[in-house]
Order: sequence, then C-alpha cells, then structure tokens
Amino acid sequence: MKTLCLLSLLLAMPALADILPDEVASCQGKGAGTACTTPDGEAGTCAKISVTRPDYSNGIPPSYKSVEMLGCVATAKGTARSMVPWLGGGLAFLALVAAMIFKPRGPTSALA
Amino acid sequence: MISQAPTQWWVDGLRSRVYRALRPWLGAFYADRARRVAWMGALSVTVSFTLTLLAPLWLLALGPLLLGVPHLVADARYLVVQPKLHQRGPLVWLAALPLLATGFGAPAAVSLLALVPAVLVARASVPRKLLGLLAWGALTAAALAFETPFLLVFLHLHNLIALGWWWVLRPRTRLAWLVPALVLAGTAFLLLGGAEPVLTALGGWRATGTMTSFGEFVALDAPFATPTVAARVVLSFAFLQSVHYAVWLRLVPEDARQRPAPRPFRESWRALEADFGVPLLVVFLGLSLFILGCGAVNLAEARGGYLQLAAFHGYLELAAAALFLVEGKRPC
Repeated sequence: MKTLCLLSLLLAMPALADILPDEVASCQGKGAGTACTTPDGEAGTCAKISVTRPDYSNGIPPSYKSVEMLGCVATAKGTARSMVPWLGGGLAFLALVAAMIFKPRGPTSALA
Repeated sequence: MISQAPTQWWVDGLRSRVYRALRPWLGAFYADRARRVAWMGALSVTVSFTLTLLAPLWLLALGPLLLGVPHLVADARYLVVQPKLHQRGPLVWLAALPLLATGFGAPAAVSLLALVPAVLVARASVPRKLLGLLAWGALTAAALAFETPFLLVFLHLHNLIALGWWWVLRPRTRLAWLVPALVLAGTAFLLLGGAEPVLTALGGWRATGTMTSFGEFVALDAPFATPTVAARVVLSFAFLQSVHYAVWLRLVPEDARQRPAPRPFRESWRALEADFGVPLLVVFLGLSLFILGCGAVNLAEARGGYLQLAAFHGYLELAAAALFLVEGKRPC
C-alpha cells in the first residue's frame, strides 16, 4: 500500500510544488547528489539547502525558523522551462474547436 | 428458497422513526424544502465556522481527504450529468481536454480553454455567446499576464462559485439570505482577526498530527500577504472550503432533485446509480478509499495528491457556470 501510494503521489509533484518551495519540490523522493532541474530550468543536483519558514506555533506574529531540506542546486545551464508547448497545444485545441464549428453540416452552426 | 429484496433500507426506517419523533419540534423546519435548505445551509455554515475556530489545521488536512472525492462526484453529477451537458455533442467532450491537461500541470490559460466549447454549445444568441467568449478572453489575458496572482484569486474565489451555483438553482426566499449572510459574516470575522484570540486560547495554531502547519498553508494560499494577513486568509480559506463541500454535498443535492420532500437513502442510491452506473460508482468509491488509505500512510502527501487530482474541478465549475450564464437560465 505504501509503495502504491508513494508511486501514485509522484504524479502529484506539481501540487506539492505549490506547498513546498519549487527547488525543494523538484528533489522530493530523491537522494542527495541526484540530478534535478531547478525552477529556472537549469540542470542541477539535489543538495541540502536552508529554507526560512514562518512558524505560527505560538500565534501571530510568527517567529521565523530555518529548516534544512533537500533542494535543487544549479550545476550547469539547461533548457529553460517554457510555456510554449502548452500554448502551442492550446492553439491546436482552438483550431480543433473552430474546425468542428465551421465544418460543413446541417443548416445550423454552433455559433448560431 | 427465493429471497426478496427488502422494500426499505434499515437506515431509512431509522430516519423515519427519528423524523416522527422530532416532528412536534422540528416538523416546521423540515416540511417545506425552501425552509429546510435554508436551515440546513445555516447549520452547515455554522459548523464550518466552529470547526475553523476549533481546529483549522485538521479541517484543512482532513477535509479534502474525507470529502474531496465525493464533492468531485457531485460536481460532475450536478454540473454535467443531470443537466445532460454530455449529450450536447462532441464539442462538449472536447472541453474535457483542457480539464485533463490541468492535472498534468497545464498553465491556467490552457485550463481556461474549457470555457470555449462550453460557451459555444450554449443554447443562446450569437451576441450572448460572443459576450461569453469576451469574458473568456479577459480571464485568459489575466492568467497569461499574472499567472500566480490569478491562480491565488481563483483558488479562493472558486469556493464561492459553489454558493453562487446553489443560489441560482431555485428562486430564493428571504430566509435563504441567511446562508450568504452567515458566510459573509464568518469570512469578515476571520479576515478582521476575530479568530486569533480563540486559536491562541485553544492551541489551534499547531496540530502535529496533521503533518502540516500554518507556515505551509501561508506559502500555498497567501504567499504575498504580510504574516498576519496571510494567517487570516488561510483561516478564511479553511472556512470557505468547508462551506464549499457542504454546498456541493448537502445543499445542491437537496435543491437539484425534482421531489421536494426528503428522499429515502435507498432512492438516493438508485438515483446515483441511474446517473453514473455501478462500475463508475465503484471507481469513485475505490478512489475515495485509496486517498483515505494514502492519508493513513502520509497525510501531507495524500492531501497533495488529492489536490493535484482535483485541480481541474475549479475550471469545470467555471465552464459550466459560463454555459448557463450565457444561456441565461437555471441549470435545473
């Protein structure tokens, strides 16, 4: 069960990326020295980094504590993360929608 | 020997006995649907608010695991299946693609594409559809220009879409205003800092068993706010998320069905079976149990996994809302 959960939760990395700092999320489930990609799209390796977090344990205002976590540290330039493939897919989607609306068929169209 | 299926489930018999016993005191609240839903809504909001004050971190940690999948099923049921949107042709099915892409980390601008087929299949005039497409364009422009703020605003506001959806299901009485009024009052109380002394007195600022902390939720829900405001925003999120679940699982089902009187559990099950079929219901149940099982192993990771699974549903709610807004009619 535990392995199954961990395997399936690997798919949840983007969601965890919202909870953890990006550089920490990309090293979730990896060991120190493992290859990773930094939030800026650079190639890196997982290493211990220090992350500052607000600590609300005693209410407001919070104190701040430093937490050691495994994070992705850049080692060389890699490919930049890009939205282009997603936006390309989006445009293809719109083209498909347009094709379905304007394809020759009965007397009515979806816009009418 | 031929055995015959019982005509009534034992739980229905039990509920009938409870109704009969309470009729002298609570009959007036239950007899009329509009009144029943208003009181049920007020009670749900009050319970959500109380839990936010008593154990906000537990509410945030357990809410999605316990009620997440059932509320996604309710989303699909009341937004798509019952209004029969899935029978409006292939264009509607195309809307599933951007929703699916959301689960794989697509940017908000791509997820918002689900609105396009929804607006186009609306049974409305061309100007109304163009207006719908204009709104989609404006949202997309905002998502492209300011993606992170857009996602944060959407994260918080999507909890209110459910309330709006429930509100337009039927004409509302004056008593029904109690529900949005309580939601507004509760949110204002939390945002103005009213909960802080209570949390400090009850030790609600931490809950070790949840494997999470206010610090984590601040990073997720309010990364741009000052520490004090951020904590208040997290509290209001816990409250509104809980209200969101109550609306989808209690209020919308009550108002969406044709029969105004409470329905026996047996009939409710049959209606669910008619909407989805047993195989799909088994999948939903399996998914619910799987997420709960994962939660027993690692609460924080199970919650993260569920959030990834559920990322699409905010856009589904938005797309369905766009369709019915363009049509200008009640969904049921």
